[in-house]
Amino acid sequence: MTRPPRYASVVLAMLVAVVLVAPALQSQERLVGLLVAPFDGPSPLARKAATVLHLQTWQTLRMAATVNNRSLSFGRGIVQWTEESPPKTHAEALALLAGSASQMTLWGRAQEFGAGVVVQAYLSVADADGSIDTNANFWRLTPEELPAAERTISVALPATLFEFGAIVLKPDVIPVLSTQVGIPVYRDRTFTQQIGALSGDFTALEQGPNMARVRVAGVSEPGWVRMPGLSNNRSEVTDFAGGVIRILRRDWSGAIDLLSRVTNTTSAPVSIRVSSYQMMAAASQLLHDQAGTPNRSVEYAEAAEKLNPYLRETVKYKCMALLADNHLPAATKKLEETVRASSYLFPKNDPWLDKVRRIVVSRQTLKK
Amino acid sequence: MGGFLQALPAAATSPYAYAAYALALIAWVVTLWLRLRPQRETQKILADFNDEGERNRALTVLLGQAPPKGLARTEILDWVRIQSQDKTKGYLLVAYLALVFAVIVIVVVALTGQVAPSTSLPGPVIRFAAADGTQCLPLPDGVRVTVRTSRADPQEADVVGCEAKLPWAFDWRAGDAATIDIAGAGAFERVEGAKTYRLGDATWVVAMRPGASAPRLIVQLFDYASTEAGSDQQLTQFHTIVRNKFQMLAQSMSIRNPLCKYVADLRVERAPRQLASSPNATLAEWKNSGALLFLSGLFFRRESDVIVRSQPFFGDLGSEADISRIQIDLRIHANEFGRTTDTHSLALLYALAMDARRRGQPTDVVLLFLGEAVSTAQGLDSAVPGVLPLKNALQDALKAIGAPVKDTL
Repeated sequence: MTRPPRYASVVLAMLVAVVLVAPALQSQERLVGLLVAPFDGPSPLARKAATVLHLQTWQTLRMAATVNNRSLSFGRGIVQWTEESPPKTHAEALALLAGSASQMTLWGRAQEFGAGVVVQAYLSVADADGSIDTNANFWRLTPEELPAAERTISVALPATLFEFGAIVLKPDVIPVLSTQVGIPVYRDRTFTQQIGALSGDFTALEQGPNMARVRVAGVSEPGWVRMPGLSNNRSEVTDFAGGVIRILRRDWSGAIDLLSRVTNTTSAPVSIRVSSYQMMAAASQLLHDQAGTPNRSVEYAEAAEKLNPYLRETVKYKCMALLADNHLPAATKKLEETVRASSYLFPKNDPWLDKVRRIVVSRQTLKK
Repeated sequence: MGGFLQALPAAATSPYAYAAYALALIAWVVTLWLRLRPQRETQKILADFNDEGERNRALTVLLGQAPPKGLARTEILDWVRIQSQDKTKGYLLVAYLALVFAVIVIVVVALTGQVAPSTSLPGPVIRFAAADGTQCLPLPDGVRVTVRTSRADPQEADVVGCEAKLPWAFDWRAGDAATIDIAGAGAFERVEGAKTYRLGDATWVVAMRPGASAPRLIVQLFDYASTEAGSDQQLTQFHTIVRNKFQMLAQSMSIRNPLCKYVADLRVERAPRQLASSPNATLAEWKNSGALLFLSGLFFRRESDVIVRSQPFFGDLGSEADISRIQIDLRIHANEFGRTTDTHSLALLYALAMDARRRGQPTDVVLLFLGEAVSTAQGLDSAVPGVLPLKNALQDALKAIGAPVKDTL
């Protein structure tokens, strides 16, 4: 467990994938963290809503794949809480990461609209200049058709700043979140004997369905909290944030599991679903390389393209998926068509697209 | 000469002038006291001595000269007055010179501008106005004004809304001519670039107009009319969420792509009045204001729901006439939050794309905005009043730049 000085009040939890890891893999182990900031808006409602999202995202962490024959390590995943003032912009959210063990911040605001309350959440991921060195070259291929000196083609994460769909709070949860009393902590999972309240300093210890075992400062024994459902509608926030954590931990199958839940949430913003499909496309190909599972990369990339064919990143991810399919002649043909049909989205003489063109020409020549 | 006359009041109240006044006053008081002293002393002598010999000896000690013998008491007083006047001419000269010195001090101070600093003197208020005479033209955040005079260091001030306030600087002289430089004004340029202003004037009005090649980056949020009592809170909520959404969108676009960095300067300005109902007047105001988008509309009740009817106005950025008559009807309800923000985001992204096109930006830059707009439009139900015309406008914009039109929307 890590307790950075700036975040002393709370360091929530963690998942440590440890044992049975080959020394070579252990050397690659790294820490991937999500920092949850208090939400802006009416107090204590906004803060408590953030706490619930915090615990829900923590529940998406896992030690390793359920079936882990290859003893793959995903490093440590943590979810931290900060007592800093609520950020109001992506820049402020990213600034909170300095000195923390996290690479991304989940933040937002709660606001009244009509007679209800809406929670708007955002995710800000540090860019390549920050603590994640893999962002700029998140998905990398080394096509043999290119000269050795420039035999790398890559894409960055599809985006680093995300805005989620609004979470409309259930009318019955608003009074619960609006009271100054913290979320009750109970002795056991019967939830009958309250031993404290969740506020300030706590550590999450164990996951359960819509519940978590926590150790709260000032309470002698750990207890259980029930996480109230915030909305009647399914929200993509925790699945997406958990998916990004898994992507950065290189837990490719786990990322696909969570992100496919996002793509199936039709109420999620199209931009979030497009990014999810793009990360799934990369994860599928990387998982294929790692574990030999079927590669559904092109399928996911085309699903993103279907949602919005007017984004440059959509085309880039499709090209990457098709480039990875270098043994299929049909893929080369499709790649050529994609480049021809989508070049209007790129600046003239774009070096990335030029590289793809050269690969296409080379493959077509080889075929002949 | 005019400058000198204008500087006189400040010079006459400067600390140097007060010192000269004090000196002159002291000189005059001393002179008068010295001139009257022999007569006062003579009166005492006349009262104290009855014997003429003793009296004359005392007067001789006092005046240094014996009075003529046989003078009556009143004649002695006249004689003393005449004698002492001769002897105190020098004092009068000194007092006169002190007065002249005070005048010289004031003139010199006025001519050289050596007026001591005074925090009570207000600097000018620089007010930015549209070229058509609109008295307040809000400029983007971060605009700075630099005031230069021929003899003083430049002074800088931040612009807040449509005004910048400057303190009175140490070395400013009332009447001096000043020029101003404006940095970071984005879409705006000065109508009279070389105009000079006068220190001492309370207000300087600077006429501005939108530049032809600069991006339009202001969204004017006008008051929405209402038939509902107590709709102020709902109007405030609506304005707040639209403002927050626009600012987040602008920040996100500016960070995501270096070519869109300028969008970080986008600002949502509240105009505390309703928009003119005449289309021509609205278009004229849009052109003069340099705004990217006007948002106006009304609140009304339909059965149990409060509805906001929002009318985005794109000026001449819209390719079709219909685009400026869009009416987006939405319930003021938490469940409509996402739709409310998305419809307005779509309008903003469309306007940003069309403005980029107006400025002659490359197609791929225009497409950065249109691509984002497509994502937003994809999540919107075309049955919502106002959404279909926006989607059609988006498709027209894609067609106009040569992008293939797909059945996505």
